[in-house]
Amino acid sequence: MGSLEKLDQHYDTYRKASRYDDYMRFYTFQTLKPFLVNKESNALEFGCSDGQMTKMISECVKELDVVDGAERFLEEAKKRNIKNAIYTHSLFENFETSKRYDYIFATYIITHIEELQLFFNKVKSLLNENGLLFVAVPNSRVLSRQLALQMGMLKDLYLLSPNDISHGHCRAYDRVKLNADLVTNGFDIISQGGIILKPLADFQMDKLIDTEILKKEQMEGLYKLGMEFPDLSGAIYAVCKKKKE
Amino acid sequence: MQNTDLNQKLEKEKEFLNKIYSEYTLHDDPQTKVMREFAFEIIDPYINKEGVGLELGCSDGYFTEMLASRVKTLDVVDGSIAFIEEARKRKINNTKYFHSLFEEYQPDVKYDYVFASYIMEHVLEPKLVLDMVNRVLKPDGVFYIVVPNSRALSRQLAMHMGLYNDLKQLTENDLKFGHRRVYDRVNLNRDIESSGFYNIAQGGIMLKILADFQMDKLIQTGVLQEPQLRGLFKLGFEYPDLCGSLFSICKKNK
Repeated sequence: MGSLEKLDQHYDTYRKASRYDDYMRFYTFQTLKPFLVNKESNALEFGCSDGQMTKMISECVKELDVVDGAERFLEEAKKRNIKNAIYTHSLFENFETSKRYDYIFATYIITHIEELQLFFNKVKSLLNENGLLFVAVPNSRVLSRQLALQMGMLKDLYLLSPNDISHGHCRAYDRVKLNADLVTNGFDIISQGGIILKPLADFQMDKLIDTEILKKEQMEGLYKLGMEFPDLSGAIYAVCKKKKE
Repeated sequence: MQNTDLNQKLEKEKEFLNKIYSEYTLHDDPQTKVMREFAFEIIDPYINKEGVGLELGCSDGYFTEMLASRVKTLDVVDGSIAFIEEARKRKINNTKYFHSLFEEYQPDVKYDYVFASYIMEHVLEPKLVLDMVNRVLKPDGVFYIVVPNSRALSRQLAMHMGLYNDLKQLTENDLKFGHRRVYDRVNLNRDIESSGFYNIAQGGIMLKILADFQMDKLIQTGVLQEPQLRGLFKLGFEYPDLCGSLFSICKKNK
């Protein structure tokens, strides 16, 4: 299990104003938004980062509970003054509430979780019978990693890079591994795909966006290409329901 | 085509070539240079130093010079006198130049190698050029074709950006460079096989992530350096469908 101190350390490696990351979160939300059909819903977000996703989610639901193990992320997110969001500082596995949720968001967090089974059991206990779990993770097979492999910078697509380790990632996912983890933990996948075909490494993407080689139009194009080539996308997502017993 | 029709068309083609390629800016941009080096790397292992080669189209002679260094003698045919003059400046010892349409080229010799890199997309009738190659290639000779790929990742991106409706559509850049068609693997193989050749190897050259002008900028600003470009070249072997160019290494049917 993770510790709260460790989580605060990882905070420092994150969200150094990466415009690529902003696009990633924006398109992650665009992808998941059509599933948020119930405006009267209760939603739970595990991990808020700087609150960019939190803000977008909050606009589509009635109430949003936010749980994060890093106090500094919670403080960042609170600055956005989201009216219908309630913040709790807790490890995901230890979060307790009497509420049950229609939507649970676990975007870009499960690669950080050491004990996945504990986490997924928690999710199942908190999710309504017909509730939806949204999962998004970085994709090991993204074009940029395959390029790094061909450049001899990675020995194996599934090996954690120094960047991964400094972010506190415990494992790397591809579609097969993600689906296996979800299915063995009692979920049915009702929708899946890729988010943004990512040709180059994060720092290069940021540079290309800053120098306007990649503008909004190109990013929109890469997002659409990601739907056609999920295998080469920067992230993969799954929309899940609890398996009926 | 009737013979008189054909002759008229070929005459017009000569005028066209002299006009368009006198104003043509030579492909000396960084990406084109890299692509040619990779194209050379692919054919290099198939070449024997004692062989006699024919290059169709010399452009500024950059590829000519690489090929010439690997064969005994190299003949070069180009329909544009401006290109021949440009290539001649390189003073390549074992190379002779012939100003002729590819379709009308009638050499006294037969070749071990014919190189057709980035010409099939320009010519009036690919079939006529392929027939000529079939006539001048030795029975066991090797024919190398390189063409731009309509399915390059960059073109698929442009389509999703709404810049084109169709991957096979000729882009503004295509028209500027005098391209008359754009190939995918299926079309290319159909042209090759219907002209009496078969592939002994095929694939893609460099997974091309962005448009030409962007690639040039990325190379110039050092975002894409040698290791990145070589990485994209190697990735192209895994994803030929998304490459900037397609290649075929062919032999004549027995």
